[in-house]
Amino acid sequence: MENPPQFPEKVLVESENESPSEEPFEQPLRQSPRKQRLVLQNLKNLGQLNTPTPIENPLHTLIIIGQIEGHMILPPKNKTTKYEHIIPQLVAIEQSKAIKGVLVILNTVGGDVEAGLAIAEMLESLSKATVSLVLGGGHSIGVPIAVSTNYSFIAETATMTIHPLRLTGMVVGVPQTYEYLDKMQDRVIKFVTNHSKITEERFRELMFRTGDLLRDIGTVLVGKDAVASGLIDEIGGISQALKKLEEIVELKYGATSRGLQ
Amino acid sequence: MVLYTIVSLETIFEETMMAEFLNSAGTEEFEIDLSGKKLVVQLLSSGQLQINRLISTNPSDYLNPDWQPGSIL
Repeated sequence: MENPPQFPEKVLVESENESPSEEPFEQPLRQSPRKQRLVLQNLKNLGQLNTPTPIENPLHTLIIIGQIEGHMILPPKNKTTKYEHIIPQLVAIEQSKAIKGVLVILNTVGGDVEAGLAIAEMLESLSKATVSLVLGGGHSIGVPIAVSTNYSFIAETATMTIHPLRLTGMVVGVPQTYEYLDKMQDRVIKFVTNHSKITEERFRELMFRTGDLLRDIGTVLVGKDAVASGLIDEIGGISQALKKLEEIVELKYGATSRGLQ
Repeated sequence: MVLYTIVSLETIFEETMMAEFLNSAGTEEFEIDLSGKKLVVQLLSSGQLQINRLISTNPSDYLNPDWQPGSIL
């Protein structure tokens, strides 16, 4: 109460609260003051007591942005998607009876190999309908996540960078280090080639191509190129992706799926 | 940890050295669970919590005016 009200509408609402006799409807006793204010605000703004409670949406979305964060917390400047958020969400989606499909939206620069592959494997083994949409970028470890779904889309302007795994700044001196990295790389290559139409030869060729990237080897695939190489299924945006997701849901659960129009 | 990313490690870890200087700013974010949703919030100097990010897979949560980034809890 000592705090001065911050928003003008709160001032209005609170001044009304001071004269409870004029309240137009009865308040159940258990409602918190904040809830009461919200109810009053709804009455004022929308002419109704409560906004309708949202029904359980049969299609959920998973947004994967920035760096994919694994076992090590990255400095706060990095925008990250944490696997401890994504994995429980995917478990909840798998267990939910109301949820029928997941739209995965990617705009990522890559990140931790283990975390990325874990998310990709979770999506791949999900029994629900899944569609991915690459917007902006789906680079490095974003590639296996993009191909892990039932069907994949890429925006026309979106890019995917395919490049070899490396430890920046570390000299690969001993054969064991090289072999370890090679194994990690093979995990990524195997996953991508198993879940998309691209061949292993083609993917390796793109990965080690020289001349495309400044000071590095690899390839940048823009929209159409990603589809032409067989990595992604189709060019499209949000409406195409949602339409495809609804189609897959219908195939999996029958045409009478509730709430899908 | 092996990072497979197009961002150079120097860029990712640039801040770790400066972190000690920035600690005094007190604008640290933390996560809370509210009504089954995960919220990334920031403690304001006034003692209130401001929502910085909502983490949910239900698209309708993002339409709820209570969970909009920037709103005060």
